[in-house]
Amino acid sequence: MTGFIDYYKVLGVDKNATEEEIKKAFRKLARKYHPDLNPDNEEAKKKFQQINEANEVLSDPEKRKKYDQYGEHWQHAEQYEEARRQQQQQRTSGQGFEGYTYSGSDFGEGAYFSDFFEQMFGRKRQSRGNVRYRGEDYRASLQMNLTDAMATRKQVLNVNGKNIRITIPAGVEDGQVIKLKGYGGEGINGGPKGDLYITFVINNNTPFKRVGDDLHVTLDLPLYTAVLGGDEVIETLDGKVKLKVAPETQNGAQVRLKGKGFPKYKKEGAFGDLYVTWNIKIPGQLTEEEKELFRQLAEIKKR
Amino acid sequence: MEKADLIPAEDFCSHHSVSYTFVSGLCDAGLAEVVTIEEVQYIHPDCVADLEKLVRLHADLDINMEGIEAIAHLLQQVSDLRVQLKNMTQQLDMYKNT
Repeated sequence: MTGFIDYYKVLGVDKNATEEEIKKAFRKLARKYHPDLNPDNEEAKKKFQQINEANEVLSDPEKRKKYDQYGEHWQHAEQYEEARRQQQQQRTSGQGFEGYTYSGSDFGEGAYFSDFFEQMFGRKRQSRGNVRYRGEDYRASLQMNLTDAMATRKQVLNVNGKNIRITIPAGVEDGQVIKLKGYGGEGINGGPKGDLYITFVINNNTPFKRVGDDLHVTLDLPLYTAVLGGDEVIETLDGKVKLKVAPETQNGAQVRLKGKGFPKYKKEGAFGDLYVTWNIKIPGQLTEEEKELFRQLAEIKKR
Repeated sequence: MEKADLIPAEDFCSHHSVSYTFVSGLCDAGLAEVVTIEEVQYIHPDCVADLEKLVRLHADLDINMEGIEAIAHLLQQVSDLRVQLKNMTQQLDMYKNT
């Protein structure tokens, strides 16, 4: 159900506001919420769309008149129009209602006027009063698992009904944006096409924490191995690795495995490092014999 | 870059209803770049998106040249801080649930 929007409230102006006051209110709010001043801020973008829509209606005398006339009864606008037209025809005034046109085209990303607006005034592309030279930039996000970002892969994306084959280089980062030049909207008046920006959303499906190209993991180490040294087999992203543990390894000690981290973006064959932090596990549920041996160790230390 | 790929500054200005003085002011402030070939000014297609952003600030928000210059610097700072924040978040994340 499309709801009525109080455009005066959106702009924070009185119903009797002059054109100048409306313009001033719009600019004041636009300076706060304009998408160019609030990059990647969806909240601000939404707010700006509302402000822009309110301005679109209230700054246009024709639209404002229609809006004021029907207000909350906008859903009956067509019925009222029809009735009025008939009355006028009877009176042979001959004046029909004007200014209500449907563009009839689907503007895809550009169609961000509310349903309320579109039902009352027809579909409309965002208007700034200027013809844009360059095509619109498209933005899309692509979700993938961290393990999928380990190797360069090709993927087919569907953007606005068009299949685009892209190559995703290994080592792409969460939140990274890549630009595909010329895959945006068509240019106007022979202008260049816009670009397509793809933001990667990478879901970490591994126990490793990724910091740049390096991976970090904290692993349990049995007390006896920590004290006496030994071998531990650990999992890395590309298989198991046997690690030498030095005798008397302290809790929290860190080991660096060179080249066992994440692939470096656009640097084929280069990898970050893997950092293993040891978390020494104190044995529990000790038998009487084990406790006795620990007591003996404690005694030896006291000497 | 071929000359055919460049956008004549005059075309850009007329499409966006801005004067060339405005574009040249942005160039003086180091916020835009034009290429001059045989005394004709052109805009590189890669610079169009950034330039259009500055034009929007001027046209939509009625911000003058000095204001645009200040905003451009602040936006750059915001962008740098976001990169820093992302790196710090990644590092902090390392200490979570360990």
